[in-house]
Amino acid sequence: MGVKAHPALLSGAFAYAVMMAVELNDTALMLRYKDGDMTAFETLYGRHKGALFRFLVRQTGNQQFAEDVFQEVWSRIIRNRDSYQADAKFTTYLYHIARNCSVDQHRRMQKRDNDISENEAAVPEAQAQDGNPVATAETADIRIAIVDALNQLPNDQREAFLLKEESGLSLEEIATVTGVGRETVKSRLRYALSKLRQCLPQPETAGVEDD
Amino acid sequence: MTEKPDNETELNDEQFEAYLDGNSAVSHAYREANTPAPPPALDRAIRKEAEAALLPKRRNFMDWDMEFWRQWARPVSTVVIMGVSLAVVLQVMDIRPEKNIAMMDAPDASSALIKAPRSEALLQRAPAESTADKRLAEGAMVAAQSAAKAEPASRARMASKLSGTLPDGAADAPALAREQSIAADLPAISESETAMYSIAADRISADPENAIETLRLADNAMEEWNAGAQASADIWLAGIAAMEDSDQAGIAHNELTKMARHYPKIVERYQQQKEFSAAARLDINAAADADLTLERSPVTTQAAMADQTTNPLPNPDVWAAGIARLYADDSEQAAAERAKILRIYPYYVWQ
Repeated sequence: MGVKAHPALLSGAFAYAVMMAVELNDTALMLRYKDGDMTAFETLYGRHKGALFRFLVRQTGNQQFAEDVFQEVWSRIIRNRDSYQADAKFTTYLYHIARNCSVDQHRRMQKRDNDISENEAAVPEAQAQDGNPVATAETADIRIAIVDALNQLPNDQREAFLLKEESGLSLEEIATVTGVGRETVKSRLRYALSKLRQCLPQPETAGVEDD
Repeated sequence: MTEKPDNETELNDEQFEAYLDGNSAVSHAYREANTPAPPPALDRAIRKEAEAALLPKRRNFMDWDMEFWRQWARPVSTVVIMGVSLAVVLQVMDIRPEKNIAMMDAPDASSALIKAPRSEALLQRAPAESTADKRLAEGAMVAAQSAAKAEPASRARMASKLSGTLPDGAADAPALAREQSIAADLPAISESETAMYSIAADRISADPENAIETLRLADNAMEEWNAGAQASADIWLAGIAAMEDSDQAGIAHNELTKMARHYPKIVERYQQQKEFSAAARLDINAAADADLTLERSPVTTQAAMADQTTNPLPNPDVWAAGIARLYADDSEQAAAERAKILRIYPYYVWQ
């Protein structure tokens, strides 16, 4: 994000989009979109769509469910753009909405008594099939194991882990999004990390840091 | 969340800090495994929605209408409610007095007439003993004849007098002023149109000696009333007098107040006579000289007689008492005075 391109080297809307992508932070982009700049939204959406979608898929364990929530999250951001306040970090704002939408959608689904158990099983399989074809068998096994372990985590721990991994939020920001204290978030993360580490090949020498 | 991770995989602080910094095998493994992305169709739908949201809204009439009502619904509702409430209050204030006259009087007057049979019983019990009632009937009849000439001013004066429970200083009180204006605005009621008055007048004319019997028509008066006829003044007044005699002064006062709206002159005369009679009797009893009493009575009861200055009408009781004191029964002067009384009060019964 530190790269700056000279506008003269680029041209037209593309140059403008690149400039914004490089220089403007999320809050500024959101404010530009609020003022009617569609390109700002494109940039903002491009930045967060992947992480948000992954968060929702992993958190809900249901691709279709995640797509519905994903669309609802962005719809809310679009609808409420005029009331957006720049005093909060956009990522915190985004994941706060995502969490609320997920809860709402989950309640709606429970009311409809939809059986989501079949779809739950479909996600890990789909992830396994989406893997890199050139990856080694060991890497593929690790991926599957991580996803399986993630699905087996308690919801709170999985949520904390996913927020950390996907959104890049700090402990304090995760605490804000989830509505708990910082130490609670920390505890959940430690617990989640400990469980997930069991899926990984143990290092040859004990006490060596991961990676 | 106080539970500690298993010892086998327990993280030390350095490892956890490394994880928080993004340097963790778990993080790497997770990122490698993370491949799901939103479908292109979903991407397009969201972008389209975002773009559509930026387009200027076409505000149709319904949008404007809803926005207008959303903004103004509360103040408009408040104003409408206040306006309706005010209108209802004003309407009630306007209708109530008229209702008293036009509608509420009907059952009340009927109640006066219902009481009438009781007074009839009193009247029929002993004609010789109920001379006061006879005198009332006479006074009522004479006054009724002049009632048709009643002017609005006298009506207003009567209304003021009848509602005169207020102190003098309260003459400008809104209620009193309103009562007076209502009384002044009342249309003149022609007694000739009164069914019972006509009947009573015919009976009295045909048989003056038994004029008191006319009051028995009170029973029939109820039927006439139910048929829509106005209460006859004499019947009404007879009922009121009977109620006063039977210690029902409160009801009698109310009935008299109502009657004053229809027969202001009659009621005015009735009250003047009552006041004058009482005052004159006191004077006569107190005075040693009947001559002086008769002359002095109008003076001492000046207030009571104030309205008679334009149309003097001596009280027959006082007149008769004075005659009895002044002249011998068989004297010419006494006969002449009695003749005068009978000209004015043809149905007066001598005590």
